[in-house]
Amino acid sequence: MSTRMSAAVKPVVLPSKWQHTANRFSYGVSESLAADVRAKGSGDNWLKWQFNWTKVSDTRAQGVIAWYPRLKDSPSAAWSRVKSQERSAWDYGFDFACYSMARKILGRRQVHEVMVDFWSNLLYIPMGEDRSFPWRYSYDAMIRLRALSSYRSLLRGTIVHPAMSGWLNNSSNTKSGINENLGRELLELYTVGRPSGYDEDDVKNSARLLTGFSVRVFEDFAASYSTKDHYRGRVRILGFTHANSSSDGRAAVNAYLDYLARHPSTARRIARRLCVRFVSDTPSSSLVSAVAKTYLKSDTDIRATLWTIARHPEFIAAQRKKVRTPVEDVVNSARVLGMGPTGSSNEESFAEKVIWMCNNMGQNPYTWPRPDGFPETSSTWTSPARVLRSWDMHYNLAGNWWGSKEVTLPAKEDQLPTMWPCTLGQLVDHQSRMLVGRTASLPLRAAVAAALNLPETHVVTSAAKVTDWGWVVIRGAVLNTPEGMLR
Amino acid sequence: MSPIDECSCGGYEVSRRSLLKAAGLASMAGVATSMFGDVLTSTVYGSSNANVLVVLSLRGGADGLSMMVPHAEDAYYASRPTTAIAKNKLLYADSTFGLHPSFTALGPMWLLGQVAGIHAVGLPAPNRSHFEAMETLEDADPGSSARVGWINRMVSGLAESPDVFDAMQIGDTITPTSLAGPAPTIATLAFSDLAMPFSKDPVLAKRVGDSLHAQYAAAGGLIGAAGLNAIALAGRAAAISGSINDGPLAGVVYPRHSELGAALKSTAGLIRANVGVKAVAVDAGGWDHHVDLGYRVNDTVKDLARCLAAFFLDLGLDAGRVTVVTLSEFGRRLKENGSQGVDHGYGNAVFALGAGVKGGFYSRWPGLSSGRQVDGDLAVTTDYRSVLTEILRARFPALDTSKVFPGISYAPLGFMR
Repeated sequence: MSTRMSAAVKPVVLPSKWQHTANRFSYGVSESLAADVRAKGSGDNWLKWQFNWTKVSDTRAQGVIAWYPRLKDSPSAAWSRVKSQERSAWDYGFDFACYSMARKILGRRQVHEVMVDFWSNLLYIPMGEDRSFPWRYSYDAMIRLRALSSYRSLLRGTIVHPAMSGWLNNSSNTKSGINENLGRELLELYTVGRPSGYDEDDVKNSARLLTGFSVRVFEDFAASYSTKDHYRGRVRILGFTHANSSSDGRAAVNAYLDYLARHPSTARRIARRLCVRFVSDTPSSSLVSAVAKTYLKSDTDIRATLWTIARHPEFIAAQRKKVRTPVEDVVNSARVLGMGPTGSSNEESFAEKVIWMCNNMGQNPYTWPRPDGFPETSSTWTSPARVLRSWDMHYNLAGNWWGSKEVTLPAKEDQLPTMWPCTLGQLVDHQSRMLVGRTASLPLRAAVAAALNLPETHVVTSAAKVTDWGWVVIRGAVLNTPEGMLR
Repeated sequence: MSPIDECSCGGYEVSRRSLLKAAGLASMAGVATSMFGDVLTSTVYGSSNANVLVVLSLRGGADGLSMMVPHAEDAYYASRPTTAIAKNKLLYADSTFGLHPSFTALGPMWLLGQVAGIHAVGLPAPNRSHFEAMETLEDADPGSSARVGWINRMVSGLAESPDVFDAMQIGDTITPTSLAGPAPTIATLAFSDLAMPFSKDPVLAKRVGDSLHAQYAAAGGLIGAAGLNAIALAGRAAAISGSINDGPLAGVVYPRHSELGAALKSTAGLIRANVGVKAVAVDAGGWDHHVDLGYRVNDTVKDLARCLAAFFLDLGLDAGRVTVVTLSEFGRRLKENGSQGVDHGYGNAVFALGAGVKGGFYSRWPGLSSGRQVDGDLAVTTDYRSVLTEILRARFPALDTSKVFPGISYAPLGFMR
């Protein structure tokens, strides 16, 4: 890394437009991320660089899987361990949640990481769920490969994946006994949505076409395509029709999924959800139309679609308008404070504690109970209880008061100005630039001065004179500003 | 709508206010108000021992046909060859209905006439989408595009300036649609740690709290309001957290490892603390039984019954002012599917328990013969809003229910005193 941002009394902050792009398309603008943006010359250039995610080196995040060797168990091996009560489905789920959080904190491929989360929340499967847990890591790996490709490819990969078959009961959907669960949610949640006007016959046909994807749930979780269970005969679903005369229905399913991915109602639905994640809770109809248009024109290309969002005036005008979810809050705090997990040996490890920090604020990763994923709207995450717990958590993190082990904790001296003396007000400004990417407001300076019972003009002569207590109070107060809660 | 409710509102408030003053309850409000300004001036009106409605959402679409079984219907047994429940297994069966055998923990309340089962209830039109049905159910005002839930309209109708403690979601920090709207509401997992930073050091906590107040008041918007609400909540919660977390009362045992039990335990503590809560929403997940209906409904009903039985015991003397109603987004299909489960259907059973309830089975039963079904499912003969109106009218006579559920046709079934 080049010169530290902190190596000056006033670290240079990124231009607000660059900061905005990085805020929205990452889990937190750490020092190294800010350096990447600066090196690429603009927020847009950084975004384009990030789009080619396989070309971005990311060794720390790629090492995380080594901490969770059981995640690589074959489904039958995972199931035998659960049967013998060596581990539980929840243990597998918890490993997965920790793994996912650690990658968010450590990853340098931040745009990719954010999109993995976006699709994982749309095509949602919870952690440690009985009928899907042995396949959950494999499902994640597939989403990771396709997160910046096309929605058509993602849909083909996810809908017939054994994890999805288990979770939404397609594994027991056969021609002799139809189970509508996946057939319905495919239409409602993953593609066209209710406004497209499908009816109950469409739902039934959708379920019929999806028959044949077998998973031997609670036996050995082996997955296969079972031609004897596939329903044969013409299906009509919205404007799609297929003779479906072969006992192997997979070609017909692919045609159906392609039809759905390319449907204008799907374009609008995906575009809107992306806009709610990246722009605002209430994106304008013209923004959604513009994004949907690119989605259709590019044959559901994800990068092209994101690019339209990032270049849109409504995106540029929406700076610091989205409230971070609890998961985003914990990951952002860790990143900007310079805290990173280094292993995951036991419950004292930072990699595990971050889960309980999120839980404390009301969002335990991958535990949303329904197939529609956590809400993407900011308004969901502004309950008074959540806000109180975030305020408290920011101090806990800044001081590592939960006593996390296996965590990088940068030395105070490395995160403070190198030119002394400076005033308390200047110190607050310095940390505000480092942690939030903007200068400290007057009320923030006053807040820290009041908490420490010192005047803003109080002179600090060296890094050694900043007490541990004062250091936590400053950094916690910066994260607790309204701007600190927003991305 | 009937005008009978409109005249009593003001007088009711006045009399209650003076009652509270006489009871010396104004003092706590005074403390809070001096710290946090106008936000909390309504405290004194909120602090009370008035009636409480607990709305228990059975998320996922509970199978009413398994909970309140129409055992006289051949179609029920014919449609569910592996999952129907035999008549001789049912509890308290009459000529039409009987309770699922796992409701045993509610036996004492049933025998005291404090539990009503109401069948063929639901939305006016079928909606087999979890998410839309839930949204419609909780908004309950199809004529308006504003996202304001019926519980929010209920507490708005009960006080000129609703208090932050009037309506709450317990067990989840995400506010459900039923609570969304202009009246302030709270959603929380529990009542521990609802405090400002450094609350153990009052001087520091005040300095930090004042600075946060200044910053969030200046910020405005969604985050500004969130910060101010958080500060208001902390001021109130500090005064009550002790009494809320006292429970459960001696001898009361909630099922172990039950999220519903934990939420109801907090709810009971909150109600016993007399902070003026009027409506509590509690979510109980796990009712989406597409597979293995038999043992799954057994487990969920057993947990529900044991939690509710413990809850009413835990309320102690306050049980006399608490009514519980269960709601679910839809019933299940009559015919079982290929996985010994049931897919999304329509008409459903609702249960009302506790204060004011006249126990027994109620229904304008449409029957299950093929001509009486709606797309293969149990029809709805009672709008769920009519069921809720019947409860609200009995328990909150000051409330103009036509403002909570605009434009419905009210058809009481007589299950409330």
